[in-house]
Amino acid sequence: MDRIKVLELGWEFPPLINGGLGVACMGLSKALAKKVDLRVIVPKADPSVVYDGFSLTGLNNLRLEEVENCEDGYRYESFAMVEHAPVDLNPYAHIEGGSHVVRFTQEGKLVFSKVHRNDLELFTSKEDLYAGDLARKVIEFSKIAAKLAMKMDFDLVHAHDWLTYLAGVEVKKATNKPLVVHLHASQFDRAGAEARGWIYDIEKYGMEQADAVIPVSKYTGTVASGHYAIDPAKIFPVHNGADPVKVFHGKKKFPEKLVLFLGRLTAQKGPEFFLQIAAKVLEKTENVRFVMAGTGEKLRQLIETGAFHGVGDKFHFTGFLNKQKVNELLSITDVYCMPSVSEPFGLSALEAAQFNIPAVISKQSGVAEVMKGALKADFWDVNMMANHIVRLITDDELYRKVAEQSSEDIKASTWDAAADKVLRVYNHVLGR
Amino acid sequence: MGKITLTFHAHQPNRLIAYDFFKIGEHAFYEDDDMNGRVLNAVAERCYLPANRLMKQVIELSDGRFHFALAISGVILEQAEYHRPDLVASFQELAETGCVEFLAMPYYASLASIYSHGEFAEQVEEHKTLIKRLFHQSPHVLWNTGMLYSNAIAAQAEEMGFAGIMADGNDTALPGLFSNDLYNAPWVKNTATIFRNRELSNDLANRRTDPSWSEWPLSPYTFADWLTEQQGQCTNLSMDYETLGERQSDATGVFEFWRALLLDAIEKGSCFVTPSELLAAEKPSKTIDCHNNITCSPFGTTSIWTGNVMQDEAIRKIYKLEGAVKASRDPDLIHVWRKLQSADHFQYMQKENCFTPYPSPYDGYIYYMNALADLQIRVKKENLLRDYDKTMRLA
Repeated sequence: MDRIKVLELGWEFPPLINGGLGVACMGLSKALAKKVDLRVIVPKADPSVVYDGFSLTGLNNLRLEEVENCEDGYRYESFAMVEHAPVDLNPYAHIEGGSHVVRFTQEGKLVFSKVHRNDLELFTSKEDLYAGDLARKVIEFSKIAAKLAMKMDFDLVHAHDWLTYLAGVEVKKATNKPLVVHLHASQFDRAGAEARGWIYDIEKYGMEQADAVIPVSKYTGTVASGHYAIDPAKIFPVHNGADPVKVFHGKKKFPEKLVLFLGRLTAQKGPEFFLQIAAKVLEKTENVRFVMAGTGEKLRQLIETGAFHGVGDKFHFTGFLNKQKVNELLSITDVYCMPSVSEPFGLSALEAAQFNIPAVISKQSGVAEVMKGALKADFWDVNMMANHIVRLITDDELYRKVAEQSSEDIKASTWDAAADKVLRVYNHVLGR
Repeated sequence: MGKITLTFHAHQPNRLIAYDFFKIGEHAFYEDDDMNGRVLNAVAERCYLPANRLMKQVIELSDGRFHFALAISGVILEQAEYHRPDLVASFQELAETGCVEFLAMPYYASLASIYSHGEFAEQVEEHKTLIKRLFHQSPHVLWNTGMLYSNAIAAQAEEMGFAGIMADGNDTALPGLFSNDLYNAPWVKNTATIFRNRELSNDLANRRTDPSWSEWPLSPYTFADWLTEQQGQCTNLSMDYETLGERQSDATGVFEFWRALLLDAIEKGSCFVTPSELLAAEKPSKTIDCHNNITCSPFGTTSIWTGNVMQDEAIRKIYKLEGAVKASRDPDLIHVWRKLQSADHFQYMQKENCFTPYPSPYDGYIYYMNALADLQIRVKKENLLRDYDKTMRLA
C-alpha cells in the first residue's frame, strides 16, 4: 500500500522553542516519518536544522513571492466572518482579554484578502511566538498555511493544539482533505473548567470540524467529550512517548532523601498541593528535602506559604532551570511528585522514570494511565500523597518494587508505539 | 554648660552570595566576600576615613574639648581587619586621642537580645574582647542593635554590668519622656538609660538635606544655637556614621557642616562628653516603664526585621539551631552561625525594602534559608562525628 502523505501543522518546534508542545511534535514527527510521507509547517523554524525523513517549513523562511503565487481566487472559509479578534491573548488567563471580543460582519465579507509583507514579518521578528498579537499570528498562520497547502499533494492534514486548529480547518475546507486534530492540552487544563473565550471556541470548533481527535490520554479524551461535547466515536487517545535521555546518577551532597516537583508554577500543576504534601511529610520524618523547580506567576506566593508552614529550610525553590540542571537534579532525586490538578499527559514523570525514580502522581493526569507502578492519589488528597511519599522513603522494598515497575512501564512508552497508533487513526479516517 | 553626647554607629552587613539549592552540602562559604569588600572599600573612602580625619581634626582644634562615642559592630571591624587594615588603624588613631569612647554592641549586630539571652551576653562579651584588643578600652555603655530597648533588655544590660544603655527617645511609644534626662528602667538600679534626642538627631541625619523641611537649608551655626538652648541633664545625639559622606555625600557639604557645627557649639559653650563621662557626672532621677521593644527605625518598632512570615521563619530557624551549634564546640561553626544572626539578613526579606543587595526580598529569603540548610547539615555531621568519637573512646 502507498505511504500516506501527511501535512502536519505545528506551532513550536525544537530547537527554537522547547516547550512541551514542541518536544512532543518533534518526537511524534520523527517516528511518523518512518511510516508516512511527512511535511510539517510551523510559524518559525530554524533553517539550519535538517530533520531525518521529513521536511519542515517555517513561515519565517518564506519569501512573499512564494505566498503570492498561491494568492489567486481563494476564499477564506473558516474565519471569513471574523471582523475583529482579541489581542493580548493569554492562554493561561481565566477570562480572556476584557472588552476584546470576536465580532462577525453581517454579510460575511472577506476581511483578510492578501498576505502582506508585515503579515510574514509576524514570524520573522525576534518576538516570542506567544507574545504580542497572538490572535493575529494564529490567523495569519492559518491563511498562509492554507495557501501553501493548495499547492501541495497530501492525503490528510494533522493539526497540533488550538494554535493550528484554525489552519487545519482552513486547509480542510480549501482542499477537502480529512482533518485530524491532536489535543496536547486544552483550555480546561490551562485555565480551569470555567474558562471560556476565543481559545475555548477555537478548540471546540477545531475538534468539531475534525474527522478524528487524538488526545494525549484517555483522561484528556474525557475532557474533549465531556467538556467540549465532542463525539466520543471520533476520539482516539494516543499516549505520548518519551525520548530516551542519557541517564546518569549523581551524588547527593546531603544525607536526606530528595523529593522533586518540576513544572510551571501555575494552578494547573498543583504547586500549592506539593507544599502541603511537603509539610505533611515533614511532620512524619525529618529525613527528607523537597525541591520545587520551575517558575511562574505563583512563585512569590508559594515562597510565603512555605515560610508560613515553616518548611523553608527543607523546601527549596530553584527558579527556572535549564535542561542540564534539570537532569542534574533528576540524577539525585529519590521521589518524583506530580500533583497536577489537570495534566493532559505529564511527560516529566516518564523522564523521571528513565532516571529510575519512582513517582507519586495525581489521578488527574494522562501519564497515570501509562505508569502502572506509580503511586497515585487525587490531586487534592494531600494526606494520601504524603503517605505515599513517606512509605517510599522509609520502605526500601516498596521503593525497589515501584522503581522496577516504572522501568517496565517506560519500555512501552516510545514514540514509535505512538506513531503506530496515529497511523491507525489515519487509516481509519481515510477509510483504508 | 549644657552637656552633649554624640554617638556614631558604624556597621556593614555580610551580604550573601546567590546561594542556590545546588550549593547545599557542598559550598560552606555563604558570604559574598567580593561584594562586601567592594562596599567596605567604597564606604571607607567616602565616609569612614574622611569622617575619622574630621573628628580627629576637631579634637585637635578644640584642644581636646570635643569628646564623642563610637558604636562599631564586630562584623564591620572583622571585615576591615581583612579588607582594609588602614581603616582599623584610623579608628585606633582616634582611640589614642583619649577623647573617644567605644561602646559595647552585640558583636554580630544581631537580635539576640530578644531571642536568646545567653547568646546576647556572649556576643556582647565577644565584642568587648574585640574592642579591648583593638582599642584598649573596656566599654561601660551598651548600644544594642538598632537601639533595640525594653525593660527586659535594660535588666540584661545591668546583669552584664553596664553603667548605661542607649535607647531611642521615642516619645510616641513612651509618653511623657524627656529624652534629655537620664532614666532607670523599673527595678534596674545600676544601669542608666540614655535616650537619644530623636528630633535633633534626625535633623542632622535626615532633614538637613530635605528641601521640603521648614528649616532647610540648615546653617551649622543655627543648629549650634539650638544645642545651647537645650534643657535637661544632657542632649544625646546619635546616628549612623554613614550619614557623613555616604547618605549625605561630600557634595552636600556634610563634612564642612559638621566641622563648623562642632567647633561653633563648643565655642558657644556646649560641653561634649562621652556617655561614660556623662554617667560619672549625672545620675538618673526618674524611672521609665518600657514594656515593648523600641528601636531607632523609622517606625520605632522591630517591624523591619520581623514583619512578615519569611522573616519570622528565618529568625525562628536560626535561633532554633543554638543548642546543636554550641554542642559542636566548633568555633568556626559557631562563628558562621552567629554571622547569620545579623539583623540585616532579615531586613533584606522585608517586602517594602528597596535597600537590598538581592534581586528581591524573596531571593534574600531563599539564599538565606539555603545557607541555613547547609549549616544545619554541617552541624549535624559534626555532632554525629563527635558522638561517634565519644562512643569509640568509651568502648
